[in-house]
Amino acid sequence: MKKDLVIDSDTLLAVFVETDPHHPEVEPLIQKLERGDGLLHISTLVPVEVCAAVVRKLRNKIGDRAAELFAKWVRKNIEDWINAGKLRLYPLDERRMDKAGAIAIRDKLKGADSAIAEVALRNYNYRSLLLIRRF
Amino acid sequence: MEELGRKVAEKAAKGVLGKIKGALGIGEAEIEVSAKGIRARAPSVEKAKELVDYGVETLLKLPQTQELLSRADKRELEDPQVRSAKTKRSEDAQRLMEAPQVKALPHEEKLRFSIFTFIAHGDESFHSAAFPEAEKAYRQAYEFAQKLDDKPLHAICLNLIGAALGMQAEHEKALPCFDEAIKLKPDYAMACYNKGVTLGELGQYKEALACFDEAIKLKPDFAGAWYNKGEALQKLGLESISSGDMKGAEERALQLVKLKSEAAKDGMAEVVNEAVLEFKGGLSKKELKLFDEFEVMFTFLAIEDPFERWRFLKREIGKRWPKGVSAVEAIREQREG
Repeated sequence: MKKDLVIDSDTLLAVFVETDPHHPEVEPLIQKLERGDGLLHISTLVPVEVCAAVVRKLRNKIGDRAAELFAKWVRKNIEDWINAGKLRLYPLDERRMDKAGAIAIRDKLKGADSAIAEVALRNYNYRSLLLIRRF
Repeated sequence: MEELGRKVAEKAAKGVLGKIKGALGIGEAEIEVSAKGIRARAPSVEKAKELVDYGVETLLKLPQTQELLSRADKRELEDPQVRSAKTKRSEDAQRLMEAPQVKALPHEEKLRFSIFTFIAHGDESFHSAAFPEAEKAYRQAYEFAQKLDDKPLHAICLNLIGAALGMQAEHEKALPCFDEAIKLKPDYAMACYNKGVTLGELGQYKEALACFDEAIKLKPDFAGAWYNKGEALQKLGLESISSGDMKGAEERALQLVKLKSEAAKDGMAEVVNEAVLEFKGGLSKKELKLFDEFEVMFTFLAIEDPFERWRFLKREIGKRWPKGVSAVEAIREQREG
């Protein structure tokens, strides 16, 4: 049975860092995508946060230029998955902003968390799906 | 080739004029010894030259030739030009040109014979790393060649002079030789290649690339041109990274990826891979660190499948990720400040 999931930025970031403690847990998500078993749903905020984290965490170790390069490739890899129909992207448009705003007021979530929750709510019950983000 | 040269030379030494046909690996070749001299027909001018070289060389080694030469010795020893010859081979070449059989040849054929003899001598010096001597011999060949209206032959001589100059690190002097050779013989792959090598030595890698491209276009199985193109692209990539021009470096990396795939089509993949492996061997520690970025770049760009690319990327990012920082913390830090 195909399974679709909404994922948050830290999940997608762990996908790209092999040494991350959670990598073994998230790796199967991508392997499923590769097999055509399921789809991942992400907010447009997710690739932005992942690329920002890559560049910010790598720059001290390998310098700005190299860090930018890795972030660029992560972005390209995400784009490739989107273009291949493996990732579905949800733009943060005006309608979605309204809904995310309502979630933030109702559930006292932070701004970015509300935007992710809105995508989750669109597909599922976000209260259980948000657990993916916090591991 | 050697067998063909030997047979002809033996016949010539015995005073038998003959024509021998044979296969040269990529096509039919023919070498002829007549009263007019030694002529060769082969799929390319270079191959024909090689064929004549083998013929002349084998001719010199035969006892009959030695006898002929010793008969000419007495007179030749009085010749200061012969005495000044630095090697035995040079003496042989000079002697052969003075031999009565050669002297009896018509003017133009005698000239051709002299040119090829000097070239053969130059080649021998070149292969023994006696480059100034090789240059001298090639210049002598060119001097004779200029008396003939034979542009390809002029080009061959100029290319050889350039090569000998290059080996003496006289790159600025070598460059006009290759330019002139290419002008005289635009399909001269070897001269294009040599020009590329010389430009590379002068640090002009962009210009060198164009020369290697041209050499490959003219001769797709030219392993040296593939190798040097690979090397030039890596040098340019490294230069771009050193100067912070990541866009330029990426462009070179893409070119290298393309070169690898084109090389695979022409059966030259191993040559390009070798160029990549050997290039790293010659770098300093500092350069190696910079080259690592370029290497990651062209390896990443060479992978077409997005999942394979992801496997490569997560491994490389994992190697560089700061210890003790998890993805959860990295994102939390962004959201919570």
